[in-house]
Amino acid sequence: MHKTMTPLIGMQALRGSRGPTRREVLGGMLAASTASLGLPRMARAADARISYVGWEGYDSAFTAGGFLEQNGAELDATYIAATEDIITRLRSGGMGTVDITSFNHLYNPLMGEAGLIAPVKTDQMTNFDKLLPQFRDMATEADGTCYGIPLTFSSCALLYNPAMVSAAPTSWKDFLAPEYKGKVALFSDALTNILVWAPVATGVADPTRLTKAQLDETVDLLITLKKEHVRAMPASLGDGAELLIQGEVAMIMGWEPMVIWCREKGVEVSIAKPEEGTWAFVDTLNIATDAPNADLDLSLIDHAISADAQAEFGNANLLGIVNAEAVGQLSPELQELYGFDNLDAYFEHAHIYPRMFPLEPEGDFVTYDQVLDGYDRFLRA
Amino acid sequence: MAAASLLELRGLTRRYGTMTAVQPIDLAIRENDFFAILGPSGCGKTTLLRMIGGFVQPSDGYVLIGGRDVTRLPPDKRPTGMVFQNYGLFSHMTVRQNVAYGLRLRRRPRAEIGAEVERMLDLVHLSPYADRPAKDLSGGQKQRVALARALILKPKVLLLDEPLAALDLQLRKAMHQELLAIHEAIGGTFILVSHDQTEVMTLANRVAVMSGGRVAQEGSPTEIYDRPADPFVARFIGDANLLPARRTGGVILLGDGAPPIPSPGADAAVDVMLRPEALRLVAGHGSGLRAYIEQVVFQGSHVRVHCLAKQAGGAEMRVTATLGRDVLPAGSGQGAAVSITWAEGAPLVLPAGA
Amino acid sequence: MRMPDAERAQLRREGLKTALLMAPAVIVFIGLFVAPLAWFFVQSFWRNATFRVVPDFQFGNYATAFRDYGGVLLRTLGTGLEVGGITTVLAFFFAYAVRFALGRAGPLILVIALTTLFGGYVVKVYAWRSLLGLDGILNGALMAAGLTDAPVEALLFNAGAVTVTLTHYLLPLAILPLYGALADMDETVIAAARDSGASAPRTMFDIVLPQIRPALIASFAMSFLLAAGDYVTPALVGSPGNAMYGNFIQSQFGLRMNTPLGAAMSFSLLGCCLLILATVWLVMRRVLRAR
Ligand SMILES: Nc1ncnc2c1ncn2[C@@H]1O[C@H](COP(=O)(O)OP(=O)(O)OP(=O)(O)O)[C@@H](O)[C@H]1O
Ligand SMILES: [Mg+2]
Repeated sequence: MHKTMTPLIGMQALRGSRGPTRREVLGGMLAASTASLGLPRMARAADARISYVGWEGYDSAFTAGGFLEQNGAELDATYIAATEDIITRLRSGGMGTVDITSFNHLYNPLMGEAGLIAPVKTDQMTNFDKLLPQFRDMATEADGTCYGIPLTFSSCALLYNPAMVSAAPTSWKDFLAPEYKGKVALFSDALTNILVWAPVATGVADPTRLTKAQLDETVDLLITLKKEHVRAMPASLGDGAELLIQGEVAMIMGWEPMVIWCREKGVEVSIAKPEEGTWAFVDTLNIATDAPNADLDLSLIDHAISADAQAEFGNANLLGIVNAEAVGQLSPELQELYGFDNLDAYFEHAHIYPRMFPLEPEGDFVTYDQVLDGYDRFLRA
Repeated sequence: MAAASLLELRGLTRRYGTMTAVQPIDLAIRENDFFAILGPSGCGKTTLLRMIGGFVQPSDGYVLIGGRDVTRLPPDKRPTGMVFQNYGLFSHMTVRQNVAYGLRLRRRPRAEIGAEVERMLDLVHLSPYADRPAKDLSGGQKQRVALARALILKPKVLLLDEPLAALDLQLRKAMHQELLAIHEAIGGTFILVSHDQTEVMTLANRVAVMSGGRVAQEGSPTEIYDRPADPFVARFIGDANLLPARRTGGVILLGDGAPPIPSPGADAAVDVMLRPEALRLVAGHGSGLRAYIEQVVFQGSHVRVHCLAKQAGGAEMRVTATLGRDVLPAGSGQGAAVSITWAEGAPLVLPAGA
Repeated sequence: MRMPDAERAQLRREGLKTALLMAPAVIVFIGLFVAPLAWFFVQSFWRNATFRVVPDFQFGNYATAFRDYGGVLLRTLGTGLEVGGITTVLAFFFAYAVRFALGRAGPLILVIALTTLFGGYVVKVYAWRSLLGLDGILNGALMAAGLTDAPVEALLFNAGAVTVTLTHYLLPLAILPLYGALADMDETVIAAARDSGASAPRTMFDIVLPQIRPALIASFAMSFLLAAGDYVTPALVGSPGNAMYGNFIQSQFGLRMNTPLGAAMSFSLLGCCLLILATVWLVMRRVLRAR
């Protein structure tokens, strides 16, 4: 069951709120049993405690394969409900105690410039070169600094129930078709809605750089959608899947793992490729400024993108992975879901935008705060 | 036809599950009757009153008031008023508001209500407490508020469920006079439940004794006192010596020395009732029932003398006499031999009972 | 007149004892309630800069809280009033029936009603969703009865569904204080009112309701505050994106990291709620008074 109580503004919260799948539970049990077999528990205190602040489930990449035990380390995980929780944590005394965080890559340059996270020395990593080229390229900024190592990807996918549509949707604008009035659902997340719908409303190529007029146009379109076409704005991703499963909606702004959640409930849904494209979520692992175990943290991140850890992580979380050598170990279902046979095509459709909305005024472009104001206007309408 | 009865009960019955709280009761109570109901705890008095007032639905039977069937009417549509055994005051109101409530519902003019309430509060000696919250009163004060609240509406049938039980003797006696005066003044039928026989004798012109959900006897107070229908009623009203004996050939012999009591009828076991105040004591064993003094108890103007005598069959029985102090024979200490005498008409022969 | 010294010492000891006994309660009260609130209250006058809070003293946050979010505030309070009112009325009738009308079955029915408190909040929300949904039980019944031939969409994802769901969730909570108050009430009091000539409805207004007024206010306050403060139910069964004031507060604290505005919005909501409760209290005291 995918249930949540988290009130959700912030797509990431939607993601974190989903309960463990059957596979995750099995995987967890497996890991626990191998750990106890391979390394009889000793009454030795851990030499290092690594503090992780980030999404739930991502820590399976750390715990895979007994790396922590071999290095006498233990993981202290603090799960977040929104990316902003990491910032709050770091700002309120977290610096100096937090080791690893999991920012969406959009945030990395800003967080790095704000001094919250430290550059990662990719040349000291053994697995960095094994990353798929798309991720190796995006990891470093123009000046060559890297503030985060990609861990996983997925995207805001247009999911539809083939049994309820006359033809596969080809554009996000199909949401506005009279035929589907009251049969579509939106993501309830500010960033995702703006980044997906701004290109639809204005044709802009990089929706993180919007003029005020473009923002207003986007918000107006969202309001029209909400008022006249949308049946529901699911409070979580699990909730969104529920809407598809119960036949409440024909199509939805969704997320790849939902396909499998629906399948587990006996409902087959498909992924459409709207011509406007969509936004790709790439989450990264970062080392916080003044991390207490900086060297170990680097090794741990290196481990997290190793082939075995990546495979375990991907299969457990139903998410896309970044290590080229791990792809073969993914279930065929996942390989197909994320189009690993032609990843270039995947990212041609799902755009990786380089950085967040500007935080301070920058030319004609609206700031992040203005975007959020616009989104609030949408919610209030 | 005789004076029509104001309140008439026909086969009125109430069952709780398998338990019958009130057996089918037929009663006719006339206007201006002050009717008292006596009976041991749990015999159904409150249940009977509540059926008349409309708070308990009868399982069977009818209630007629002034010839009109009110069995199915709710309390507010009946010309009855009730003083509840556990008061039922409106705890969020003051004493004055409690008493005024019924008149306010009747939309009487303010001034009239005010005057009437004052009069009532005065009557029950509660004027100084008029503006106290009802919940802050003593038990006796609450009872008087309940009384005033019911009286002020001058109902045709006033149901009083032990309305004076929580009052001291002085106040109770004063209230007796008030109740009589009010009854005199407003007329109607008062039905009083009481455990206090003096109260019943003082107030009522008719009495019903209840037992186990039925009316054991009904009549005027003197009838009930002088001619109880059975040993239960005899014991319940006033003190009574109930002496077990046998009727043989139309005569009853109580014991050694007692004069034979003529009593027509077939041979049977009987109880002979002798009221304590009907007995006299004579020193020594002369003519009269021979007995020995067991105990002498002084009760102010009276003394009660408990004696032991022998039945005709030989078994011991206790006989109690109530005497003025001046007629107590000299030397009546414990163990003294006495003879018990009575006037010829005094013994009442009852069928043997419990 | 002067008090003897011994007596004064005695009084002082008593005072000290009382103070010591009260100390834990006072410390908890200040530590858990007053101090955090005071801190946020101070911050509500500060200013937000990107990811930073700047001490200041200005009312801009409050202006924003009412100007930009006034409509949402009204809708939120409206939902609270509606749910609070409906819940309290239903809870009263339920508690009244259990106490006076249902006899021996009453306590059993009460226990059954209270067991719905188990199972948690979200379970109930989802239960209502599957009841009201397109292929839900209600639509199934309507179609089986031939009342409609296509499922009715209007059952779910609107304000009505929010009211139904919240009322269902809050009902057992609201029943408890009311049943407690009614259980303490003497049946004879009701009989006495009827005997004085009051009809059943009059008795209700003159006697029953005034006597349980504190419980009525408690039930209303609880369901009103919980409904006005809730933002999960509207998100799950309400009309799309129909966010409550709480959503925006949460977003200010979390997503937007604008603690000053978040605090100002919190205090605005709190203030409005207290104002409404005070009004309800006054009205109830006026309407349900002893006459
Ligand atoms: N609501 C009820 N449910 C079940 N039994 C009842 C109920 N009310 C009264 N009874 C029973 O009916 C019988 C008569 O009760 P009632 O109150 O009429 O007695 P009472 O004569 O007024 O006693 P008391 O002198 O103690 O007031 C009792 O045995 C009582 O237990
Ligand atoms: Mg009684």
